[in-house]
Amino acid sequence: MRMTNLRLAAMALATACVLGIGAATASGRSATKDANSIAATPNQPFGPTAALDHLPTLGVVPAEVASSVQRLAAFDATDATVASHNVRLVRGGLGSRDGIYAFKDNRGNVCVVEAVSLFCNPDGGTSTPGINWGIGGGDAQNPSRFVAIYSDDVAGIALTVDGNSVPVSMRNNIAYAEFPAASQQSQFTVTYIDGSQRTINTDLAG
Amino acid sequence: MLHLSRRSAVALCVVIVLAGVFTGAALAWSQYYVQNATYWANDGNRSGYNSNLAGNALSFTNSWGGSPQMCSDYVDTNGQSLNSPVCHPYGWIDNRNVSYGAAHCWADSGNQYPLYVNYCYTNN
Repeated sequence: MRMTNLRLAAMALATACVLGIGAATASGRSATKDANSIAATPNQPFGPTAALDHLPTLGVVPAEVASSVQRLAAFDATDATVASHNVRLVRGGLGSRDGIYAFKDNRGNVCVVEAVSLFCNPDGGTSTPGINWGIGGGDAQNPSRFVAIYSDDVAGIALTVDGNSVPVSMRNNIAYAEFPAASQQSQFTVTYIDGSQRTINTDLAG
Repeated sequence: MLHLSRRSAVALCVVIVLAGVFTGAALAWSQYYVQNATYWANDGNRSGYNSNLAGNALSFTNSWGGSPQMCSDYVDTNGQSLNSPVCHPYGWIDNRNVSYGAAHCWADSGNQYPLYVNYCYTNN
């Protein structure tokens, strides 16, 4: 346990150092000419997540989940103790793997803990409004999956993998889908309550 | 009751300390295998090889806009993927484990914008 805590502390310290270096480098660096020529798309604040926020926090967090919360808290530079007391089960009974858990970091960003990925909404908002996702991650025993946090202004998500439509389950501000691990290409379209749409493509072949 | 001479006790302590150091070194390995880099589509790198890899942390930003994604998997000594890639548009930790291999991070081939990689990090 001591080693685990030391490693977490070291990782958090290293993360802070690297982020500091990265920030300093970012502010002072001269980016490549090509990169500078691309007009920046401003990120937008992530919208509310009412259903997720109203779920009860867990009195007892499963050991594996608690360990992942600790790791994600260190990565996200948030208070691990507060995070561990703020864990919610947002999706259960998802078939191939364990449930999906969430907590909010000390800056109010939703963080997700699941079998494949640990991730938080970024501090500066997202460039694709109201959604933050992970896709892929299957293996010989498990299908790949699409897991997304979405805000209340998202009306629907349509996922296509290798040309085939894949049903997406949306509940408690978490979207979920499964598809074959050997898939090559995915495309999903987010439809907002105002009728606008955004489409994202991902090369799953590696 | 075991009685040790002063010299024996010192030798025993040295052995215990060295065993602890080497055991700890074998159990706890980590590597930042990318730091402070601009990645265009398909740019990537992999870590050194080790046993019981227990995570691959990718920290990056879409500094030039758009929704570029970073992907992660683990590879064997032939460079073959041990599991399907996972891709995200913002920083994350690949929560999967492999018994032996190297961690791998790269910018998705479909990215239309570069991204700034703070680091890719793995440990066991």
